Amino acid sequence: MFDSINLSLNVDIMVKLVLASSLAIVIVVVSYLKEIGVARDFSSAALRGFLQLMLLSALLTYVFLSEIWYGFAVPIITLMILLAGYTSARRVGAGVAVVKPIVITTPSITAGALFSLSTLVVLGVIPTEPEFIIPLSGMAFGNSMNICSLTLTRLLSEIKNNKDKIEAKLALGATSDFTVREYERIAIRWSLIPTIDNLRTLGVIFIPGAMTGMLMAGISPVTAAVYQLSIFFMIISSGIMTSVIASHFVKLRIFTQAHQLIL
Amino acid sequence: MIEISNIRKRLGSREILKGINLSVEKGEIVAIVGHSGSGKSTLLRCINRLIEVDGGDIKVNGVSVRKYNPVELRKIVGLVFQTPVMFEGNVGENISYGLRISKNKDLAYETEEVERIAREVGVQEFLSSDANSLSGGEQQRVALARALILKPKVMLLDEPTSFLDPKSGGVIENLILKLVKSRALTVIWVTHDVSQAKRVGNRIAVMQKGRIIVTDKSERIEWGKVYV
Repeated sequence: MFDSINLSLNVDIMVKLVLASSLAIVIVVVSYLKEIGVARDFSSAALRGFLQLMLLSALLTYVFLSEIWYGFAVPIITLMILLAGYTSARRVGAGVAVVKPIVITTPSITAGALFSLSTLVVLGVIPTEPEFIIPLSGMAFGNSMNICSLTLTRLLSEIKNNKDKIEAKLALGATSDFTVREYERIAIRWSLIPTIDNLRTLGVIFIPGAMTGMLMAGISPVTAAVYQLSIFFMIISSGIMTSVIASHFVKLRIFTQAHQLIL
Repeated sequence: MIEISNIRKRLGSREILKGINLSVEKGEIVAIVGHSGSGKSTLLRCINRLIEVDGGDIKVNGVSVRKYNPVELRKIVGLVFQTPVMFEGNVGENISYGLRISKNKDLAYETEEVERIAREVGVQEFLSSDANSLSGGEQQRVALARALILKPKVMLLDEPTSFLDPKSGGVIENLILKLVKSRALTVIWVTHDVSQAKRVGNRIAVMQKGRIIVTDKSERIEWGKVYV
C-alpha cells in the first residue's frame, strides 16, 4: 500500500519541493518591487502551510500503514466535523440572537456529508480503505461546510429583510413553513451555484484538484475522470442535503409551533 | 366576542402590556387610542397570536386563543397593518393569497370572490397590475380585500390610515367603516388620532404606557384628563 500511494519521503521529492519554492521567491520579489505588501504574510503562510502539510503527510503515512486505521479515522473525522461546524457557525455569526449557529451547522454538515459518503461506500464506489475514506471525508465535510455557511447566511438575511412580508402572510393564515419556502429555495439554490458551475465547466475550463492529483500519480485519465465525477456527485449531494437540513433547523429555531416568527 | 383578561407582554427588558382588560361585543367597533409606544400594536398582535402573551388570556367567541389552531384563528381574526405589505405578483394574486394557500382550493370560487371583493374595495381595474406599483391608498385597499376575502368574524386594524395623506385617509376610513358594518364585524381599531377614534368607535379605550386607563363611550370620557 505504501509503495502504491508513493508517500515515501525521498531525496528526489525534496529536491522538487525546493525547486518549486523558486516560485515563492518570485512572489516575494514582485510584492517588494510593486509594494503590494504581501511578502511577509505570504512567507508566514507558506511556512505554516508547509509545516501543516508535512505534519499531515506524516500522520497519514502512519494511519495508512496501520492495521487499525479506522481507530484513527474516527477521531480524525470527528475533528473534521467539529471544525467544520465551528467554522461555519463563525461565518454565519451571532447576528441573529435566537439562532445558535453551531447547533444548526454541526448536525447539518455531519448528516449531509455522512449521507453521501456512506451511500458511495455502500454502493462500493469508494473502497473502505483509509486512502479513500479520510481524504474524501475531508472533501465532503469541507464542501458541506461552505454550502452550509452560504445557505444560512442567505436564508437568515432573506428572512430578516422580509420580516414584514412573512408576518403579513402569517396573519393571513399561512403556515411558517409556507411563508419561508421561497426564501429557502433562493438560499439553497444560491449556495449550490459555485459547485454546480464547477461541475458545468469540468474538464473545459479547469481540471479539478483531485483529478490532477490522480493524473500526476499515473492513474489512467478515464479512471481519474470517473473518480472525479463521483467526487462531484458526492460534494453536490452532501451539499444539498446539508443545505436542506440546515434550513429546516433554522425554521425550527425562528418559528414557534404556533407559527410565530421570533426572529 | 373578544374578552381580554389581564394580559401581560414583555419584549426584551421592557414590559409592553401591563395587565390589559377589554371586552368587545359582537358587531361592536372599539377604537383604542394611545400615543406611540403605548402598546396598541402589540395588543393586536397578541389577539391573533402573531406573538404570545406572557400572562392572562384572550378569548374569541368564548374560546381561548391558545385553544385555536393558530392558522385557523388568523383566518377568523383578520389583521390589517399600518403599512400595507404587498406580496410578489399582481393585485388579484395578492387578494386571493389566503384562499390560494388553503387546502381546499376552488379556482372558480376564488376568481369570483376576488372580482367581487376587488369591486367592493375599488381596485377592480388594477387586478392584473403589479401590486407593488400601486399608491399607498390603493395598497391599503388591497390589504383590506386580502383580509376580508377570508370572511373573518373579527377585524383588527392597526392605524390603517396613519401613513396616508388626510384626504386619502378619510376615504379609506369611510371605506373600512362601510365594509365592516355591512359584514357586522367585530372590530378593534387602533389609532393615535382622537378625532378618528371618536368618529369610528362605538366605544373608545384609552391606552397609556401598557395599560388601558379608561373604556367608555366618547362623550363620557373626560378627554382633558386622560389624553394629553
